[in-house]
This record gives sequence, structure tokens and C-alpha cells, in this order.
Amino acid sequence: MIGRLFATEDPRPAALMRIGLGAVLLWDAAVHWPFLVELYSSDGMPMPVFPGTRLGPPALPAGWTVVLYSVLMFSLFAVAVGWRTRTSLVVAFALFAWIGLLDMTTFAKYSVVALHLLALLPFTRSQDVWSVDAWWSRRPAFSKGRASERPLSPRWPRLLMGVMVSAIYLGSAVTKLQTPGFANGDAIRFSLLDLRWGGGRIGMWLATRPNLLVLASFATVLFEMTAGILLWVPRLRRPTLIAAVLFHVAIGVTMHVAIFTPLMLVALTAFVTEADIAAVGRCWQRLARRRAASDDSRESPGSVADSRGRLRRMRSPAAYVVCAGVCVGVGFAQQHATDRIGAFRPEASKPWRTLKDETWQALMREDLPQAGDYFHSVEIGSRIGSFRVFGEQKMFRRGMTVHVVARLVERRVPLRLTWRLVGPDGTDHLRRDVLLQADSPYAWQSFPLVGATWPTGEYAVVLEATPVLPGIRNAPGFEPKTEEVFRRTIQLEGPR
Amino acid sequence: MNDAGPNQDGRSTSGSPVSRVAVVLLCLAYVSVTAYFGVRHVLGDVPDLTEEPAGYFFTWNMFPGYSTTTSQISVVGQAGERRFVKLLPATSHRYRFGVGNAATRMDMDRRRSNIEPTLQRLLKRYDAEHPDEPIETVFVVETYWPSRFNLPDDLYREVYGETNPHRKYVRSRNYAVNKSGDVQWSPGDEKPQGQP
Repeated sequence: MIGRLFATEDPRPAALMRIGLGAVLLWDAAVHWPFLVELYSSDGMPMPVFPGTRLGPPALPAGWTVVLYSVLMFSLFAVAVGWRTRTSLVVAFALFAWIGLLDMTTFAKYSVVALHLLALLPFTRSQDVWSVDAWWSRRPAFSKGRASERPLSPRWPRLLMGVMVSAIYLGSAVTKLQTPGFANGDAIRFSLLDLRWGGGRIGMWLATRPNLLVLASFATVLFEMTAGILLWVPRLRRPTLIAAVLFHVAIGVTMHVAIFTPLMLVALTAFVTEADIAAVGRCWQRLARRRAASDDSRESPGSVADSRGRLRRMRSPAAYVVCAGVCVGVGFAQQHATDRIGAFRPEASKPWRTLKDETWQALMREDLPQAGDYFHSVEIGSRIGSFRVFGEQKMFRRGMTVHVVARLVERRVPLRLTWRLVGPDGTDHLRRDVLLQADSPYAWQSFPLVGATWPTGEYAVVLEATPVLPGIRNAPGFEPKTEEVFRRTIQLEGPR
Repeated sequence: MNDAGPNQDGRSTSGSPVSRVAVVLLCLAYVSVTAYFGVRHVLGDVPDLTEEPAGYFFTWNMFPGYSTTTSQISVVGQAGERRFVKLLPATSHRYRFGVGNAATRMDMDRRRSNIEPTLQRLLKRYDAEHPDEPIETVFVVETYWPSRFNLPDDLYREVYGETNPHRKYVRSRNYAVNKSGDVQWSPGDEKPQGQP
């Protein structure tokens, strides 16, 4: 076991992770660039992740924030291309942590994943291939079939990254098992309906398919319980990796989770080996119908030497710092010119928005929700299980039972429910009155169709609700009204 | 750097920049901390982030809950008798995200722990610009609706058999602002509370 820690490996998988990590984080930083003064500076509205704790970094004025953010973006670019890689990784880690912890909106668990990877990558030799550093060092960075010439990278950092990935999957599974309402699909359903990270078109469609939601819930837990372990089994590593990729792509397609999906794909490269990269390379060659050739054979040594010679000055630390300085200058100029919140030029700040009377009155009008809006769904069926109904929904025979299940929203008042089974003659064949407490997410009722004298024909299953408002009596506008929230007709047939 | 020299194949085995002892200790520490917080997570003992913020970095409890209603918070200040100014989200707060880019940063602050310092800053700025008519009352307004109304209209009609009403409801609480520009939060209010 200890020996495994000191094993070495080809640096290409680590380089793949470095490129992916730098690219994903750079893209995320670019997306937030227009809002960085608002999000991260003391002139905006910083919302620290851990206010008042040791992990609450100071928010700086707009100018300094732009400087730091520009340096962050430059370092992420340098990570992606492999220029002064270790330095860039350390700088990126420090700035990503500092800036990220200033805003809870843009800092989430995927940011923590990124920090773990940024912290561990400097211990690898990811800069030895597919990088500017390797190109300047005159290493055959892009040559095929030259594995014997590539230096080796320590294996232990990627082992720790693998531990992190496994912990993520197992932790996620534990969270889901501990969440009430996960097994029946409610957790996924309402997550897909959430305004902040809910689904796009596909996710919203999935939210309307209860059976798929339950299957997706079990499949998710099953995958997360097993993937964290199977990734370490050599024979099952590749299929599990493929399943993990599909799993995260599905999440990315169905929900708004920022860079979580691409970041997890980057983290999964902790389990990618040189053999995988070589296999992909062979597939690519077959698809492109190219013969294997080394880069040295395509590029004459003379031209490579010429280009390296011209750029020799760029190898110096001073060149790196100068380039970073140019990025800062360009970034500062751009932010100063746009100045969205008036941090640099007070005259650019937006005026206060005064509300019109009708807008204000609409905001202050505290209407009670309609009783029907306390219900998310009401379903009918001939079988019931796990707070869901199945089977017949329209045609019932004497002797069967009509089950009705209502899913209600939380944060509501108690409700007085009246369940009715109305016969063809309009009279109530069955009626039940129930007081539903505010903390009950479900209400259900069963109507056994056992009346021997009941006529066949069309019946109606009706649910009425009346809000119970303790402490408010005869107040104008607050009189609780009984509302019919559900009516479904069924056909009662005779026995077979 | 610890260079182990060429291996049997003649390939360079440039080592890690740390010694073997440090590698073992680092790996042990990383795995131990991960396991410690993992076990606590299994037991349901999730770290209190105000006391153990470091636990956030080793506890993988994504999406620990969900809500069946959607709500959005805004803060309005009353200056004088009939002048109502929208304080939060401010006109300069333009970052949006989520479904249809409809969510604001206020919607992520479940504990509303960041409202107070930001509000204080905005109140001071407003009062400095309008010394004759400072803000005297602050209203924290919560607009909420059932999450099913977030469905696209065609899906809503397919499931519920009716047009999506897109109804929204409002509840608010008001707080006085003293002459120093400090909001008088009610006793027992840690901060304005949004969703649990």
C-alpha cells in the first residue's frame, strides 16, 4: 500500500486534468467578469460564504478587486496552457479561494472540488507534457510513440483526488438517503422546479413524470453508492467512468448547476490512465485515417529551434509577470470603462428606483393563497403505495377501492379537508372531514366501492379545502373560504 | 526537488517536490480528515458552518433539501409618506442566475445573514444623498408561489388541464430605522427570515 503511494506514472492524465481544470475555471471566471465588482468588492454587495469566521476574507475596494480577479484569470489561463504551471496553480488556488469565499452565490461545492484539485495538482508533473513549459524545455511533449522519453509523475496526488471523488459520490448517496421524500421522487421533482437550479426544458418535463422521477431517484442512489468503489476496481473502472460521464451529463442537461458537470468530468480524470489516453488516441487515428507520426517528424528541428529562440525571452519570470500586468491593465481599463455600479465613477451609478403607487400597493397587499395553491398535485388510482397511486383511474368495478393522494406544499396553514364521493344522482355516497395539520406533506383517502345498492354510472371524487386561520376572526378580507380543489369523474361498473 | 533519477527503462523519475515522509503524512491527513467528516455525515452530524467552516470543504452533502414553494426577497424603504424606494436588489445589482436568469443573489441567502450589512450601507448612502427625506421604515417583502407555477405553460396545461395562472403572493414585515440609520430589527429576529 505504501509502495503504491510512491509509484510513478505517465504525466499525460495529470496534464489532461490540468488543461480541463484551467479551461473550466477560466470560463467560469469569464462568465462572472461583468459582475465582479458587484459580487466581490466592498463597493458592491459581497455576500461572504462564512461571514464572521476565520474563512471570511476581506472584501477590497473595486480597483484592487479588479486587479486580483485579472491575475486570477491570467493564472487560470497559464494553468490551462501550462506556463509556469506550478506557480500558476498556487496563485490560482490562493485567489480562487479568496475571491470565491466573498460570494455565496457563486461559491458552491463545485468550487470546493476545484480547490482540492488546484491544491493537489502542483504535486504532479502535469507541466511535463502538453504545455508551454514542456515546449520550452525542448521535451518531445507532443510526440506519439515516445512514451519512453516522457518523464514520470508521482501517482499519489491523483490517488488523493480519487479519494475525493469517491467521497463525493458516497457523501451524495448518504445525503439522499437522509432526505425525506427522496425515494418517492419528491426531492428530484422539486429540485427540478426550483428557481435557482431547476431544470431547463428537459428537466421541467422530467418533473411531470412521477414514475421516471422514482426510477431516477433509485438509479441515482444506486450509482452513487457503487461508483465510488467500482472506480477503484481495475476491470470495472472504464465502464464505471463511462457511466459517471453519462450521469453528470444528464445532470447538466436537466438542471442549472453552473460548472458542476464539467468540473466533475475534470475530477473524474483522476481515474483516467495512460492506457485510456492511448486507446483514445488510436481511435482518433483510425477515425481520422492518419498514420502515426511524431511531432518531430512534422516539424523540422530547425524551425522549432528558430521559434524557441525568438521566444526565449518569454521563458523568464519577468515575462510572466509582464503578461500578468498586461492582463491587469486591460482588465482594469475595461471595468473602468463599463463601471456597471458606479464604483469608479460615481456619476455612472444608477439612480434609486422609486416604486409607483400601484406597484407599492400590490407589494403590500397580503392576500392569502387560494386553497388550491396549497396543493401540488392530487392523483387517483385503484392501488396505493409509498404515497403514490397506481392502476385504474377511470373505470372501477364494485368491490374495488378508489384511492386519492394529495401532495401539498409546506409552509402553509392547517386545512380542513372534505373528501366526497358523489353519485350519479348528485348525492354524497361517502363523505369524510379531516383536519390536516400544517406540517403534513400528504393527505390521502380511500373510498371502498362496496355499496351493493349503488347504481352504476358516473361518480365524482371531490376534494374541498378550507384554510384554518387561528387567531383571525371576522377580519375583513381574511374570511376563510371553502374551495373545491379537485374533481375527477370515474365510472362505476357492475361486478364481472 | 527530490529527483529519484532514471528508472529501469531509462525514463526520468523526477520526483515530487516533497519528501517521502511528507507524502505519507499528507496522504494520511487527507484521508483521515475526509473519513472523519464522512463518518459524521453518515451519522447526521453535519458541521455548523459558523463554528466549523472548514467542515464545508470535506462534507459532501449536496442538495440536502428541497422546497415546494418558490420565494424571492426584496427590501423597500419608505422615505416620507408616499415615497417608496427599492433598496434590494438594488438597481446596480444585476447578477442573475438560475431558470430564465430569474433568481437574484438575495434568493441564495437563506439565512439572510448578508442583508443587514448591505442594507446599512445602502441606507447610509441614500440618507447622504437625500438628507431632507431619509428612509424611516424598511419593509422586507417576500413574494412566494407554489413551485408548480414554474412549469412552462404547455407542460402545466398537460399536467393540470388548465392554464398556468402564475399567481404570486406577498407577505411583508416592517422595521423602523433610527436616526443613526440603523434598522431596528424586532427582538427575537436574528435577521429577516426567508425560507427555512
